[in-house]
Amino acid sequence: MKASKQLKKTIEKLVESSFLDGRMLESKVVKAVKVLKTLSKTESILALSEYLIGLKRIERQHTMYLETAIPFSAAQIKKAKKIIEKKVKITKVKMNINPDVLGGFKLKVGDEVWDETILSKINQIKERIVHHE
Amino acid sequence: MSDVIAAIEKDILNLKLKTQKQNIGTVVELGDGVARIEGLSDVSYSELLDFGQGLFGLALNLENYNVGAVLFGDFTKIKEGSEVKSTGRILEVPVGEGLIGRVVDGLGQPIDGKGAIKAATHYPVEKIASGVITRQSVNTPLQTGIKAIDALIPIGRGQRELIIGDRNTGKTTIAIDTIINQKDVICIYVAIGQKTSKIAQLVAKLEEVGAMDHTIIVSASASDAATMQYLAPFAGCAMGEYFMDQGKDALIIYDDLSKHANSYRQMSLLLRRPSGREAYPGDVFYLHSRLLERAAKMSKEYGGGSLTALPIIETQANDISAYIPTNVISITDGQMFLESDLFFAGVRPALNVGISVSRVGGAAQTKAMKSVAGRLKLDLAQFRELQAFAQFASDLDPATKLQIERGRRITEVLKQPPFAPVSVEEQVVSLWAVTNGYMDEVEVEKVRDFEKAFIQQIKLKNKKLLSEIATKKELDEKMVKELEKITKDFVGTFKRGNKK
Repeated sequence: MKASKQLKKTIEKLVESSFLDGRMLESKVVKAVKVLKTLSKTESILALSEYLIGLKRIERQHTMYLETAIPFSAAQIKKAKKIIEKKVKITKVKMNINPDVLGGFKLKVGDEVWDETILSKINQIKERIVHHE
Repeated sequence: MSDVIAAIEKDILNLKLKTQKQNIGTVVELGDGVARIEGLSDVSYSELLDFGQGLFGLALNLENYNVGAVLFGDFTKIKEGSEVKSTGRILEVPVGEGLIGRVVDGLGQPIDGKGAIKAATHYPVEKIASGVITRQSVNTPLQTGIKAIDALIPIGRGQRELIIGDRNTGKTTIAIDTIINQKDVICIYVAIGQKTSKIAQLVAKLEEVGAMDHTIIVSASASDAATMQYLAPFAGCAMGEYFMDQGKDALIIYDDLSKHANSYRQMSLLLRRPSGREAYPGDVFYLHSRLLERAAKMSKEYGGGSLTALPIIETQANDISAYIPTNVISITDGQMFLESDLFFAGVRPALNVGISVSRVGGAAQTKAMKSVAGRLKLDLAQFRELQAFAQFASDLDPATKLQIERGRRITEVLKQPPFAPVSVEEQVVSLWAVTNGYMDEVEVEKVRDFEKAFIQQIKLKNKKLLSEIATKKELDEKMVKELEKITKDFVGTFKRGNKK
């Protein structure tokens, strides 16, 4: 079953209203779920799944993922967050320690990735050598 | 060796390492070479996507929160949740002289085991066709070496002429004959959805006759993914455009566009695009029109090169009113219609000259050919009309009888075995002889023997006349008189030889 256009629009509005400044509002989410539960069984399952996907999507847009070889200090994280917040409000920061990146950091917000790792630099040099004319 | 290392060292020292900013997405759905990706908010239409592990795809459906993409290559490595990166590049294929004599796939990668290809440059697969200002009208003939085509349905360089007909009516044979007959034209043969064995046979035949020296084969066989079959004609076209841009003449054969439309339908249905007539997507017309519009004859200021396109369409039970045939007929500058009835009646090439047409090729025909073709068309048209009528009448007046007999002889002269293209001057001489009634007294069964012997005789004793026709490209009075004398003498000799 596919969600109708009308239902999709409603879900989109509910998703948008569930956030304020990038922060998810629990009361709004509970209210939205209650509204969607009033639909027929099949429609409500579909609508709830679409609603959850929407929530995840918006949440991801306001989450900053940091991948480094060694943990960042609180000050470093704050600095990175400050730079990103010029573009988008960050509500969550997730750190991932990956020694394979060798050094530097990889920053991901929504669909955007900034790669400042040593591994990426090595790959750039490797690419240059391979395609050297 | 040390020079190379020093050059690389210098190159690396000058390299400015940048922070890589990328737009990424995640595979949420995958099936039959089509992936649905969540994210990739900045991706543009027709952008190349990097799926990792050397696998690439093409963004084709840009929706609110996800992107529909087609994958090129082994998509079994991709899993749900795999990361996809946008590359900021559009799909390109290698082009250049290095491709001549090679067999490549839809991405321009060699599949003939002859090693890497040295490409001159890379051309985008999708490109907007040349504009009005850059073009000029068709004015140079593209000789196919097939008498019926060169005389009645002439093709000009830069033209788009459709070859249409049922299966096993000789469509590919016409295309191969045309490739074999080329000397200064670079040919690109695009095989779409064909059996690999058939492609191998074709390559072997072209190698045997030495035609691979000016030919590129782009192969997307039946075992290749629909995405590769969709891409192959566009890749072949880009390769042809390179030669056109260099001021050279190129010929491209799309064999066949029915299968191309089928692969596009498969892709579109998997991409969940709305389907229309015969389940083809709404833009199937644009798919072929944008491809065929890239065939052009460039003006002198733009190099004067040309790209001639010979698309092939396979019909079902001679039905040319189906969706794809009507589309391609309306896009091209004419069509050659091949009929299975004619084929089985022994008329090969099985060209139905009544409904076949070339809308612009006439302008490119040489004067010599024009002088014999005009009469030929008229004689054949009258023959067709009278033939149907004569079936019911037992008693015919001499004039009608003569016309029917003439028509039969013309039909015999127009018959030609495969892979045996005839030069223009020889065509002119044969057609001149038959339209001027010199074969009227020869038995229908012996017309082909007569023609063969006649051409051999001229080649032996009057080579100068043939080369004059070839260089002057017209039949002047002096030549006609000489031809009359030669033909009369030969008819007498032939008759005497037959009596014995």
